[in-house]
Amino acid sequence: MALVLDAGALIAIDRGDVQVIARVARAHHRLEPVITSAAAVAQVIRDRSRQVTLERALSNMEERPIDSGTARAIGRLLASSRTADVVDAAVAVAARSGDELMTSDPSDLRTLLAGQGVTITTV
Amino acid sequence: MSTRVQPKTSPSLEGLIATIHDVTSSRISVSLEADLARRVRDIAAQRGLSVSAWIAEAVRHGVRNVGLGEVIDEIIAANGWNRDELIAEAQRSHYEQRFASEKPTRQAALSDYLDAVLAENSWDREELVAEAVQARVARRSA
Repeated sequence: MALVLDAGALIAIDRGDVQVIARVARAHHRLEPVITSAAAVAQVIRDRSRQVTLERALSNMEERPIDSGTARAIGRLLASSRTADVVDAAVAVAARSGDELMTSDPSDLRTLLAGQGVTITTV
Repeated sequence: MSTRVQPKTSPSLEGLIATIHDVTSSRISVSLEADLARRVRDIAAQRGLSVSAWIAEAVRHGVRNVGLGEVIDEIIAANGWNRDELIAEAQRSHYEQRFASEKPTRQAALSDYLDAVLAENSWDREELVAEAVQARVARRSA
């Protein structure tokens, strides 16, 4: 099992949101990997000097790159779900059955991950 | 376990690939107990990885976990939160949200939650059920 974070959850870490910090602390306590997508990172990183905590947290997470295989998986997922948000789909592709995905926008991710066995929790 | 760092003298295939990708790599020799080494070889083979690649991934996970723990501890300390209470609340919230959001797997989530509660309190499931049955019988006969 892993904890997967979307852009909203990363922003919440940057703000020191107690709920997200608690979830990350739980994952750390259980030795579970904390994962995000490079697409979500691109959406939230703006100013390194003002996002020190987030940068440190990210450097200790598994950041899934978007290589050619992942890009095609994202495209296929967008087609099958009839949605268009590449960043959400990139986060969804990073999740596996049994994982927990934290998001600020659960409705789109529920559509993308319907029946995949991923627990979606809201920031 | 003993470790020693050796300078790379002759390039291996993995070393060559690392060079191509402009990644600096170091060779570390690690001694493992025979049983553990056998288990590592088996797991790596099952996953189609070299022993080196599998160990590197396991170490990467361990190092990330330590680093993330340091970041989280700093945030918790800066806000005066209690780590144990925070994790307990996250645990409760996780099961609540999982239970609420996954109707088809509610039974499994409830079972997991009950297992977690039983384990956390060192309760015996059969004893608990027997007590509940006895209490119900007593209420009916009262």
